[in-house]
Amino acid sequence: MNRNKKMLMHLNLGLGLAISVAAGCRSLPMKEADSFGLSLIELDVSSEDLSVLNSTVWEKTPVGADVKIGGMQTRANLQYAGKSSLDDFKKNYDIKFRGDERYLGRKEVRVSSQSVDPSAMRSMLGFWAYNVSGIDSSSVEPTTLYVNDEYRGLYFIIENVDEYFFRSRLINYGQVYKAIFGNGNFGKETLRDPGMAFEVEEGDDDFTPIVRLTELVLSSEDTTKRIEKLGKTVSSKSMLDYQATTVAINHFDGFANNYFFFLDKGQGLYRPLPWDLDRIYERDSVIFQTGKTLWGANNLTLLLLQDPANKKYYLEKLQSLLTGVLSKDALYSKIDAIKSVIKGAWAADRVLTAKSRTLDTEEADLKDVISIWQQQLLADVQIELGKLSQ
Amino acid sequence: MAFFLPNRRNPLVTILLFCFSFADSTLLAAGEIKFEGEVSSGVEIVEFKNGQSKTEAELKLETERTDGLKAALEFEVSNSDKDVRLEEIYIDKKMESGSKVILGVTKKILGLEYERSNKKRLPISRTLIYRKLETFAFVGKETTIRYESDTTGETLFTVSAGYAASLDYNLMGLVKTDIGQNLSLLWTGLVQSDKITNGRQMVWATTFSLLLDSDSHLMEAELVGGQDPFESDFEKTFGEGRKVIFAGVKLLYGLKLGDQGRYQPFVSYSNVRHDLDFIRYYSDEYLVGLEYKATKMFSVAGNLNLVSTNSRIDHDRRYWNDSSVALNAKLRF
Repeated sequence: MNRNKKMLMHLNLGLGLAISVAAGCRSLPMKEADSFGLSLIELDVSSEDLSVLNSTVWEKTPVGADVKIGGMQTRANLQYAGKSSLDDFKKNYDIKFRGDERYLGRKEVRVSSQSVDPSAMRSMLGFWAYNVSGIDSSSVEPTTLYVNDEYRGLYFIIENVDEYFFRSRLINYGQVYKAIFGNGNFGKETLRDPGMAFEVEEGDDDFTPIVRLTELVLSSEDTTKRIEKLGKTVSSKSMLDYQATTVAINHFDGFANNYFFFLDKGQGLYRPLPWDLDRIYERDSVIFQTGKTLWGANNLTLLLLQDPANKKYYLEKLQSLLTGVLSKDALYSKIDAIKSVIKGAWAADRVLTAKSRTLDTEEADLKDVISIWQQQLLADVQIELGKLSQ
Repeated sequence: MAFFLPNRRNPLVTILLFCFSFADSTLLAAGEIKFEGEVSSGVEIVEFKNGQSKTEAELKLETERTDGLKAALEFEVSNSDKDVRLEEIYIDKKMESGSKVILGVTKKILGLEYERSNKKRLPISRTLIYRKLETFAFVGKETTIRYESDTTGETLFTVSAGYAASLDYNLMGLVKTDIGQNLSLLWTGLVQSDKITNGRQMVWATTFSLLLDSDSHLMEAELVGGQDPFESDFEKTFGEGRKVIFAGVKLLYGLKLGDQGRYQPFVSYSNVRHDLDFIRYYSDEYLVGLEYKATKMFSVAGNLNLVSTNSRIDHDRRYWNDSSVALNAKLRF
């Protein structure tokens, strides 16, 4: 009994001393995180957990982290995110709140570096482009990320395509696939190993719809019959709309890779959703080929375009985008707006500013690529429309 | 409750788990599996404003050695992280010569704080240089095959080859020798091939330690150096390929007072130069603490940890964000 009292006394004494010392040391200077006018995410991870995180990069083992986001402080699971970007210096993170906390209604937040894009403007521009084209697409918010008080740079909170995405848009969804490894073009690569062309994001681990669609696309059956059959499974309009924007913004990575393909139960048809837009308008990635580039590189859409009515719809859609919501002026104006939002965080980001890059030169380069692309594409669309009217 | 392994996709772990499935409950009943563990509970006031309580438990199961073979399994769980984490799982084969071969997921041994059991560590948490090594994943757990020389001799040496799920491969070595008067010397080293942006890089780290552990004193003096994998990756990818070398020193002195060293006050100083090409960019840690061993199994400890850091571009301004006060109670069994 005496021993217990003594221990309790020591504990009380220790606790009292700890609180007194803590109070006494509060005046020491502490580094405050600068948000550069954007939202702020602060992650506090123990060195032991960083050791787990950094020694299991390719397994994406989750560790515990204290997270401050949007004025909320909570405990969360933290893990690296992405696939080909896992060995990037500036890594992506998934934050999953442990309790009932939500950020903008979401229990899970993807914090993406979009590090392929030195301008850090392409993702925001791309998702905006799909949005103004009338295609459901993720919201994207620029943010500043700190890990253990160290500024990790300009990041983006990109809305995951998940249950919350569909629910908030009142979409009754079924199976959800994501095209991966550049094999999701409904071609021979897809058929060879569907699991290496698409991954199941929601629903059963079943690739039957993908296999059946690819078999139909590749079969030697009469084209009209194939398109008719295709129309019973896939929303032709959605596919053509998606492709028109994808071609308009030169999202060459979105034909066989980096797009979602989901069953819209409301329509009873599959349709695509855009993803990972950090490579749009990438200089030198696509050599524009007159009469070819404007048709994209997805076999399913290429089959749909063999129908004259679909072809006309597609070309008119593309023309209306290039002269309307995705005109050069509209894109330039959006770039100016994005630039003014991110410039502070961009200038302090050591990866973005490496190799003597400046935001002004990145902006000029992006605008130049857009100008060339728009000119070539619009001319080609007009040639093809001319052919149709003959 | 989620359950995950450090190397869950590694087939070796699956094989080891399969081997363990043979250790049925009759072994436990016959006392052929021994348990040892620790429950600790404490509060840490980080930056002197955010109090965080943490309770965690570690449990290690070890089979009795049969035909020179034993297996071990260690779990950890904490109140803040609801997952049960499998920390270590390995097979240990002792040869007739007294040397051992260890195969499985186990800790990388780099420096004194990883070589010695944490039961003998006076600070509640690892000190500054080890926190840096942890951040680099130079220490921690990985799939390893390790050879250990006869542990009964005056000099112990080990060599190991390891693989981590960050696609890193390494070779590690250790030499520890008693030089009398309760003094021992320790050298550890690591050479690692790291997966980085667009390729790989070779990195290294080494430690030299002098340890005095007597009935009345504990003294640790350590030198640590190596190549920072992240900063070197940055330099290779975005700069001119400069290798960023860090170096650190740690001094710790503790007293063992009272009956059987019941009161153990200590002071420690650590300094890490993060980049030897920018020598004025460094962190300091001033640590003072007391451990009170109420019984053989139960102890209470308090630490005051002041850590100051500047930056590569502003040497004069120092910040104290990593500083903390911690109080911890621990029960070992």
